Amino acid sequence: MSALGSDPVSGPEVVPGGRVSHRPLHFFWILDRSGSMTEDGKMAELNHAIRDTIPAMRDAARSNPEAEVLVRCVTFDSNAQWHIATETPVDDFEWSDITADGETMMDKAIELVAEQLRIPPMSSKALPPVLVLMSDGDATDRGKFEESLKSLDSVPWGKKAVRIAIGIGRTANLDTLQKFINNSELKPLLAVNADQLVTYIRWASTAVVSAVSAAKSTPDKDPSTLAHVVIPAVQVDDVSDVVVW
Amino acid sequence: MSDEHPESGVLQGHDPVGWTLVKSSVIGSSHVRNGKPNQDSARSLGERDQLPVFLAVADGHGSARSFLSDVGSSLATVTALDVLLEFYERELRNLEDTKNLSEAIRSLEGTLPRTIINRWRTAVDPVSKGVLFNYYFSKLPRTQADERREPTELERYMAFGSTLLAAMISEEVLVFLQLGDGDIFAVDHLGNVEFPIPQEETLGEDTFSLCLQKPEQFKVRVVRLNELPKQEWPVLICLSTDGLRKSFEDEGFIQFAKDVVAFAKEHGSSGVQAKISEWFAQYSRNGSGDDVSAIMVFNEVALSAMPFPIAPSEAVADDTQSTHEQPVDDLVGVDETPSSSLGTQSSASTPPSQGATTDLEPDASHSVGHEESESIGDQVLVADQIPNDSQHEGPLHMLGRLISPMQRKKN
Repeated sequence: MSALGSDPVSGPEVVPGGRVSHRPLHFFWILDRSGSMTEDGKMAELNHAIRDTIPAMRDAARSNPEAEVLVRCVTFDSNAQWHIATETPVDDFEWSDITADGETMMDKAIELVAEQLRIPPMSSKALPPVLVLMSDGDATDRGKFEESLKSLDSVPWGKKAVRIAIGIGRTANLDTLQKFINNSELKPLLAVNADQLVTYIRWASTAVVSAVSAAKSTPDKDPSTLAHVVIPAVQVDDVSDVVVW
Repeated sequence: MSDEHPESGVLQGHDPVGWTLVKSSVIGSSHVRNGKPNQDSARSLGERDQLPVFLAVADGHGSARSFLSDVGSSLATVTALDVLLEFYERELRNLEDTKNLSEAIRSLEGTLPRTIINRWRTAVDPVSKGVLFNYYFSKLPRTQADERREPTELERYMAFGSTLLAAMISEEVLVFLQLGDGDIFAVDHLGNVEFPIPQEETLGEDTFSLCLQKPEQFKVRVVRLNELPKQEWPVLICLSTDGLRKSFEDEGFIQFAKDVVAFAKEHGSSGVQAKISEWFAQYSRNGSGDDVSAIMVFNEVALSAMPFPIAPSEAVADDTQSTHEQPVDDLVGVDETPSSSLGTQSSASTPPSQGATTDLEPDASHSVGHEESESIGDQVLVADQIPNDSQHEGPLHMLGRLISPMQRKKN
């Protein structure tokens, strides 16, 4: 008698194969906490916006239960560090405020994320990861920034990631953010007030998560290229356009 | 030639002398929730206990732009069986000698992918010009400037976009064709799991597709079987859509292949057929959420010759809904040698009666001789490469391979 020895019709339930699990959807916040983020309350608004949208993010994740949304956060100033280092299920995701100080070493944060997008630790059965970069400035070291993008593109899941970028205030360099996105069909968003910032963060953590978690096979001549997930447009009809930042 | 029983998918009531087909196509849990149809198709053709057998599975893309991909995948499997059957009737049914077999393989290699794509297009065309198509197309989100334009040629075929995996098992050859994601695997009489078409490390949802109309993206593998004893033919050949693999973690898919053979050994292939749809629904619900489809062909001769019991899985799918009933102490013949990493082959546990190593190296009667590599159209036949270290490898590994143009470029 073997482990598969039950009656096929009426016996105990035994299922062939190894462990079955939902497909992980890794979501990374990549946040600027350089000194300039203290100006005009940008840092406080960023903290508030992320915390405020957590319930909506959970709802979005529940709408596609076959995707297991796992959240992490890395911040950058004169260095880069994990704010949430472990893969945190969205239902357990809570936000503790970050403070601002230092330069804008965006490259170090991107390198940290790129390291996590290797296989392993990533699984080949994962859904395309979502990377959301937010900054109010420009990369302090352009050369290293370019190098970090190469690192990101050199790992399979880095290349296949859905990359979103949100500029915070008019000091944000949208060209830099566009380079991070690396997809001409997707433009960086620019938030010039707190309402817009909340709207964009909500969009990234709900609409984008929903789109990726419900991603469908897409014909492509070269399946090694960027993820071809249809990202819904952000709705800004009722959002204030008063320029504060 | 007749199709199997439409209800069961099993060639019923045969002695363990032939080949048994088992198949299932289960709608994905996410599709049920969203009111979408099953976009997979699984189709087979074969006489009871006899070869040849023809198999095809296809996975419609299911995105908004592929709004008729359930139709596209169904037409894909019909087309594949049509083309393979026609090829068999023309080239293999009255085959007289090995020379003719080589010519038949050349013919297959040079024409089948293109023929399949052309016939699929021909099958799709009338539907793509109908009112229903235009209705769906008009509902796609588009910019105002785009609103009234006609669909491009790519958009027409994209609406039906689908992968395709197909196989023919005859007395002489195994033929495998694959375009896009999904898996073709074989399990030999020692429990080794082999992928006759090497797996590409593709990530995310992008895939090759019939709608791109690129015959060179087909991967084709032909294996000569006619000089191997049937006991050494694969015990199981399976074609599956990616909803199956993506439901498992890591090596869980390889374990699935081994466990299914173990289950068939104990309960018969009819036992597999009785449970397979239930398993697939569970995989989808607790795993990928995608449609899950597979066609399995069990070689009853080789299955009955396998030692029993076969090393079972130590990991059981599912969270709370299934249980691993058997105490570990009761397991017999479990070889703790870990499986090799996912490549073209993963070795399995070796039953105690077989010993740690098994001589699979063919003797003179098995060998089909050493031939020079030769070009066949756009492809290269590397015939009969039998490395000295092949004794752990299954028959598919021993009997040469066809390399598609894409693989050749990489090499």
